[in-house]
Parts: sequence; C-alpha cells; structure tokens
Amino acid sequence: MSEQEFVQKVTESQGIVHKVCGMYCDNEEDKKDLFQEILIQLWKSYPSFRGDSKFSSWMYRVSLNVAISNLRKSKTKKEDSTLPESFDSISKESDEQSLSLEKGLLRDAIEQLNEIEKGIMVLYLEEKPNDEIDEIMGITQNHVRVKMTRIRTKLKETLNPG
Amino acid sequence: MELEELKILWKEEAEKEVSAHKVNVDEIRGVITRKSQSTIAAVKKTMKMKVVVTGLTSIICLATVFFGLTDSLSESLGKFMNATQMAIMYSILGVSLGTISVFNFFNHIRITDFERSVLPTKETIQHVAKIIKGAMSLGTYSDLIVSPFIFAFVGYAYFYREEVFQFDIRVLYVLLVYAGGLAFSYFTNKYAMQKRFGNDLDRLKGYLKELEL
Repeated sequence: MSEQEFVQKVTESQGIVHKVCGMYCDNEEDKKDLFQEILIQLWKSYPSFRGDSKFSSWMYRVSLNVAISNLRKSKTKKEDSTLPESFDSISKESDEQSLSLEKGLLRDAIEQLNEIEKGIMVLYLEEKPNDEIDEIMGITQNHVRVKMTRIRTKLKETLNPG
Repeated sequence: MELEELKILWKEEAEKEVSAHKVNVDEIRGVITRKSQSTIAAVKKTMKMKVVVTGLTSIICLATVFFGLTDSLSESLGKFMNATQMAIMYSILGVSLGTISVFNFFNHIRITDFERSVLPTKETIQHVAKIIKGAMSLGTYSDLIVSPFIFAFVGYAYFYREEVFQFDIRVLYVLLVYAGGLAFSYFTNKYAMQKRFGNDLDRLKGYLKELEL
C-alpha cells in the first residue's frame, strides 16, 4: 500500500488513463487536466483497492468515474503544472498535424456519443467482456447489450453515411 | 468503415496516444500531491472554510456569554439592548453557528469517505449528485440562520434606538424586517447556489437518466 508501490503500478498501467483521456477530451489542455484529476483520484482511493478485482479494472472504474462524474471547475486561471511537458509539446505537434481521414472519422464517431456511451465504448474497444462492463458501469448485462446496440447503430450512421 | 475496423483504428490511435503522452515515475509522484480542481474538491473547500469560520464565531459568541462580557458590550452599543437580551442573542447565534459548523464537519468527513471509495459509475454519479444537492441546500439554508438575524438586529437597533426593549408595535416591525431578511437571504442564496452548481447537477441527472433508460 506504499506510495512507491502505487506509483510503480500506475506508471506501468498508465495507458488506461491515457485512453480514457483520449476518449473524453479532444484537446491537449483538457487531456492534461483530466489526466491529473484521474491520478489524484486513483491515489485517494488506492487504500480501498484490496485486489478483489484486477488492477486494470479498478483503474478503468476510477478513471471513468472521474471522466464522467467529477465535473471539473471551469478554469479562470491556470495553475502551474508539474505535469507532463510531454503534453505541451504534443499539443503543439498536434495542432500542426492535420488529421488523417481515418483519425478524423474516429474522432467524429466518438463525438456522436454522450458521456455514458463513451464510457461503455472505451470498454468495448478495449475488448472488456460484458460482465466486466456492467460491473464497472453499475448497470445490468441486459442494459449493457441494449446500450451497445444503440451505440453500434449511432456509429454505423457516422461511419457509413448515406 | 465497419465496427471491427474502428476497433483496429482505435487500437492504433490509442497506442500512439499512450506512447506520446507517457510520463515517468517522478512525474506521477508530482501529480498525486497536487490539489484536485473538481467540483467536489470545491465543495469540500467551502465546507472546510465554513467549519472553521462558523466554529470560531460560535466559540467567540458563547465565550462572550460565558465570561459575562455582555455587560460591557451592552454599554458600548449604547444600551439599546440590555445585558440579558444581549446574552440571549449571543447564545442563539453561538448555538446556531456551532450547529452549522458541526453539520459541515460531518458532511466533510462523509465526502472524504466517498472519495476514498470506488463505486460503479451509476452509484458514483448518484453520490456526486447527492453531494452537490447537499452543498446547494447547505449554502441556501445555513445562511438563513445568521443573515435574517443580522437584518433583525439592524431593525431592532433602528426601531428601539437607545431605549430598552418593550413589547409593543415595534416588535412587529422587527419581525417584519426579520421576515423580509429571511426571504431576501433565501432567494439570494438559492439563486447563487443554482448559478454555481445548477448546471453540474443537471448534467449528472442527465447521465443518470441515460443509465436508467
């Protein structure tokens, strides 16, 4: 339960947080803020992780909870960030890069979804089984299936217009 | 494009995203010591401030009565209130503020416990909505104990000037000022809370509806 152990585990599995940030934010500044919020929340709730579930499931659950429900204050002033200069450099690079057609399609598809659907979608894209999705989201498996059908329909319309 | 292709594309993009944003152990260690900017953190900060301010004011009010300082206060306030009336007023204020402080303190503990727990998304949203509703109620009603009292105090000072309290028509005037202060405080507080948290609460309700459909 030490900080060292936590930092080590999160460093190894940080991809989960980046993927959730990528799903919920379309600019680097928001990604950076959300990344920080998720890490802070992961650390706060780490004592409650008892290993009953996989560390990755626990990380997905915390990350999605923060992304969906922890409404972030609208910023009037930016605090100095200890984070990731990598985010800043990426921000510049990303601005300069033009989106590829496929990447644009992916972004368009994601933008069609609401916050709850995005949560289910990230778990689906990460090939999580339905029982894990319902456990994380707190809804029944039937409900997950209904949601997935709706999401698929929405995505098909975006991906194959006309 | 089919969904399976989308999955492949997501994987490719996610890999790029992860490798481009990768942070090291020291950066993660730095981030977890930072303060949260979430609405819940803001609610907690306000509660903490209220615990300290109302708690200290309550202690000062009750200490004033306990150590018999109301005599000298009554003198300095032009004797429009005698020492007993002042003691009653300070006692009511002290107890009211103390109650607000204790209430905020326990709510603060409850929110901290919630932050440490990891619940499914639906339950988390329900809890966050409850916390925000609680913060809105607390912001609306807790000030109703003090603000109208101040209005009434000013009214009392105006109507009785340097006279000692007498039970006559002026009591009604003071009560009317109190009622006016109560209504004014209620609507002002409610508006302020709605402006501050209303949108957040509506969003959460929308998410819950989405999870229940």
